[in-house]
Amino acid sequence: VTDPLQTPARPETIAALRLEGRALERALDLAAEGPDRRTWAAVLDRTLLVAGALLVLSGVVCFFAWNWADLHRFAKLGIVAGGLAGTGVAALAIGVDRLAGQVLASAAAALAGVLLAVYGQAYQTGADSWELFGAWALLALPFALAARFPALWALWLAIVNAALLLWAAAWDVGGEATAWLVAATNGAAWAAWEALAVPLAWMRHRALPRVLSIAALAPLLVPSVAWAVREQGVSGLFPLALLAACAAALALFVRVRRDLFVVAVALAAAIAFATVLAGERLDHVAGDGGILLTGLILVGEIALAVWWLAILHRRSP
Amino acid sequence: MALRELRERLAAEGLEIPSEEAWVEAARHRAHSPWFVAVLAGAGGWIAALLVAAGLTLLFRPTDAGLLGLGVALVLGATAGRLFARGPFGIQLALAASLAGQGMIAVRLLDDVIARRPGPWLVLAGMEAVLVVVFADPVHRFLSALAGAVFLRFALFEARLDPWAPGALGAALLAVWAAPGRAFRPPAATLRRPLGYGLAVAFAGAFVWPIVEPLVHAGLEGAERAAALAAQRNAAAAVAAVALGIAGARALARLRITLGSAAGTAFLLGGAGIVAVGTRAPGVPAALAIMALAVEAREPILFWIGAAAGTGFLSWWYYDLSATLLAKSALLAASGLVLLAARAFVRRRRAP
Repeated sequence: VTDPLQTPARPETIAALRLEGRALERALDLAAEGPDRRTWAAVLDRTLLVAGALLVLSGVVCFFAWNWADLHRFAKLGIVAGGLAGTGVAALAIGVDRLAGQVLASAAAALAGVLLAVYGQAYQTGADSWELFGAWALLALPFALAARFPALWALWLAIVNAALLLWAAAWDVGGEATAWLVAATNGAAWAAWEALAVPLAWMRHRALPRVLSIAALAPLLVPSVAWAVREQGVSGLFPLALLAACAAALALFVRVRRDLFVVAVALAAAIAFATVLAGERLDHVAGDGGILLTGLILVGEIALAVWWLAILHRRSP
Repeated sequence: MALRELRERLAAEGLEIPSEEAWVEAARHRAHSPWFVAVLAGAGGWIAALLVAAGLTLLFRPTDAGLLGLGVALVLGATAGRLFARGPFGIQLALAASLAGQGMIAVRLLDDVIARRPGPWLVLAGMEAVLVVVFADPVHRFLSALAGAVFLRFALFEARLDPWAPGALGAALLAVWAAPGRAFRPPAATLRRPLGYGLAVAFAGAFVWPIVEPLVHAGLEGAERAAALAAQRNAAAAVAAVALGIAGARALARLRITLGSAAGTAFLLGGAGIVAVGTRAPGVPAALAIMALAVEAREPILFWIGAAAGTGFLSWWYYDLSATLLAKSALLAASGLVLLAARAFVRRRRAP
């Protein structure tokens, strides 16, 4: 059972205690007091690691963006392959159960894509961009599986999304089919993550599934809004799928696995669709007053959502 | 600090404290919703305000004076309404009505903004300053703090006092986050976080202006203008360095770390490097100052505001450097390696 007194001591919380005199002043001062040396050291450690790794990786990317035509192709491939092997070996040496090892594994996964790009440039393979991203996703997968690092899985899913979008553009798949494809892919990844998080402790951090909730619902919301404003040729299945996905998310993340961020995302998506739909219909019925009515409807929708979220927040452990 | 630790420390100091049940009740009270709920309420409030303002304007088609009157009436009514509103609809309606009213007032007052006078901007900044205090809603307070700072920025711009803007905002930011806790005793207890977040975003934004402004006015360069831009950048760099120095020195003093110690020397060396970067990219030390204040105040949201701003400023600096991609690549990799080496050094020093 979570201890409610592990809640951070904020001025608002202290105000609710109705302390008086010196006790109130001391409580407010103590609550505003900074952390100890160990906490400062931990923050510095993480900030230096993440900022340092990102800067080095950015340097590598800039190096490959530089016009290096003078270098022989073997040298180009050798540099990237050396970087890939170096980061991979260093990750194994440090251990992928440590943050530094996971960051190195992520760098190796990123360099795998650079290696493919350099190979394609050096040998003019004629491959499409989507093939490059698809192959990159394949090469990065073993690193993601080994590192068990949510940030690397986020990178991998971004590569997969890019491959899908580029494939759809190359094959002239069409906007609707692309939206279905991206929504289904991200939805499947989200569902898989939630299911695997039950037995696997390292998957229980909520950042990636929260991003996936947006990535799964957004491709359904955009065509749904287009349908609501009567854009021609947009399937009525999108709003149905959007509302079904929102309802499922609300049921799951309120009753089974409490995550108010996902609940807020689902509510925001439903509200956006409902408001556009109402605004479009009222514009025809009520004329100039339709805009005002739409605004008041939005006020009501947001009020209900915020009220419900506040209740859920108070009841959360 | 968690409530349990606070309770234990107050008890250890022999101060009279309520029962554990009262503390649990206070923990459940949680005046502030999570940040994403505030974002939902704020974004919804903004869009609803636009619709309400547009709807009222279309319905009543007010004159210029009427628009100002309607705006003032909406703001006053919403402020009063918020004091008494208990239900969610009333709270959200007050937020939207107030924002709609502020929009109408701003449209009317800035109608003749081409005259380039600071007066209307100052009036709007003053209105937002009053609303931060009287409109008892965290989302509204954040938006008012941010809007007030932006209006002040434009007032200083029109008064040709550009270089003072980052300093004014930095002083306000430090006043809020470096003040002792007792400065925000009830009823001001609910002010600190929304006001502090708004000022942090505005302070970071003040360093965006020197980047954006030359782009907006590209092609108008002259000796006078170049001097003005240089003065603006130098002032921003000085403010950022001072803010970082104060934030860092405050943490060192509290942790009883002397400048002569290894940690103190590392702070001085690191600070000098950051300030050197700040002469070209003042936003970087400014963002680090926000992050340092955030760690001292144990405020994760403030930390992410600083981190996001710092990432943006650093990216812009590297992008804008007058150097070849090869030189940029070397500089990026070298600075990254310096940070990683610093981390390794700190870890070795801390190892038992």
